[in-house]
Amino acid sequence: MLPFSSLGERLDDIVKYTAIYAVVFLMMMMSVISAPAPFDVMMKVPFLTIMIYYWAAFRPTIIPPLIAFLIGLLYDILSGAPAGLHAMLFVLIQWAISDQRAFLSAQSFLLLWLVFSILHAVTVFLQWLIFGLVDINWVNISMVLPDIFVGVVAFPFLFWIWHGLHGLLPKLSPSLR
Amino acid sequence: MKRRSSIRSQSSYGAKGITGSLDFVPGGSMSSLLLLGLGFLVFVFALISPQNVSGLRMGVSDALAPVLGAVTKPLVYTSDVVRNASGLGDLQAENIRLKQENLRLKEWYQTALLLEAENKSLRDLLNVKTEPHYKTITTRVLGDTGSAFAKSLLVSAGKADGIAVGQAVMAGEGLIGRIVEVGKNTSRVLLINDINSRVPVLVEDTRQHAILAGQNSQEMNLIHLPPDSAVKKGVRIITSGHGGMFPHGLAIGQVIASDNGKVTVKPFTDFSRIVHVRVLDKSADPNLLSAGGNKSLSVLQ
Repeated sequence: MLPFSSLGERLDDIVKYTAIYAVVFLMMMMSVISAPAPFDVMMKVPFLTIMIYYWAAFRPTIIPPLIAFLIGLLYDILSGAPAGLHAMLFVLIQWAISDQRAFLSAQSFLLLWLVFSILHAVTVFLQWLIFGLVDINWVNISMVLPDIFVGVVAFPFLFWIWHGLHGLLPKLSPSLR
Repeated sequence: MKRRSSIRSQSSYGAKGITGSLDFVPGGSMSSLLLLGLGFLVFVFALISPQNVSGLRMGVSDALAPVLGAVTKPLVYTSDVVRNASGLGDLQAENIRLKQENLRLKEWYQTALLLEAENKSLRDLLNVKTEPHYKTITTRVLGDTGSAFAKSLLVSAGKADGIAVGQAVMAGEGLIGRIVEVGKNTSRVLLINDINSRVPVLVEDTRQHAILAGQNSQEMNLIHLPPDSAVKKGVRIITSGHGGMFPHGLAIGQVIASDNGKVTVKPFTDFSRIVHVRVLDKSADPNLLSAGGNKSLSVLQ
């Protein structure tokens, strides 16, 4: 948004930002719903990890650390996971990626995909470790491999959804960023 | 190459921002550190005192239940359409199979009627106290994270519908779990295949007691069996009723492998395809713990 934008332009920007946050909320819900077959594979898609990764790399003001924390906490509450676990993980992802965004935002899609794959595998491994410590009982590590695989496969689709939505946003918007 | 430049051009307006600085999230590192600390405190608090977090959990679930239901609806509708469209070809074969099954069941029905009458007369003769009949509350599954680390479901019935902590939950042909958290309109079910789940069971043919332990997969293990026990493949596993948590005799699954003392049980219900569940009202059974009785359940979360 330009400094001297009209009321119409401001309203237009507000609608666009609202649309982005509506999709953020939808992704939040998609990550905890019970999807019937043949959509049950959706339950393994890391909607939130991909979302936080994308916005941390391309526009961290959309999901700053506080929003990442709240998304994680809400996910913990709705999914029955230990409260605070995903809140911490999402803040860590947001921090790590936004810290490297000068490098990441200049890279090709393939490299972004590779970085996400590594990040996702590390995140799943951390969850495996923490859940194991909490339960004092570790799940067979081979059982989390499908989660990593689905995340890696789903990344391009969700990336381009976010990329398309990102294109709607105004290039400069000091008041709304 | 075109795509690559597209990503770069888009990132440029996000990266530089109005100030031209790359680090334009004010106090980004400091706030992240503080939030990590806060997250850790919440995590530790939730582990030490899960019952205090349970109220917040179910309050939020209650508030968001209509949204979860609305998001699920189009998927359920599409799933029904896909199933109906793809299943037309199988209908004829299914019809023939059902007719044959119906004939067999009619024979069994006659046998069951005879046995029921015989049982009743013997019970009257011996003055046997019979097991109570359970009322069930049928409800829809709202949430399931599909996580490999914990197995639970969020269902759309709560205190207002008569649900209470500890009630057994059935789906399809067998037991699938128990209620561990209850809100006003939603409840959380800990599935029996969760790594924290332990269910006292009976091996049906030998009447041997054991514990059914979840391992976060579709299959479960029988533990605490005597070392010399021989459990045959195909044998049914039912709840023993010990501990007062579950009623006696609920079907769970059948043994699919038994090697070197390791007994694997496959549940009758496919946990990945549960749409509706039935919650057993235990208030009618004096042998079971009262609803909401076992506070240690919340620790399992």
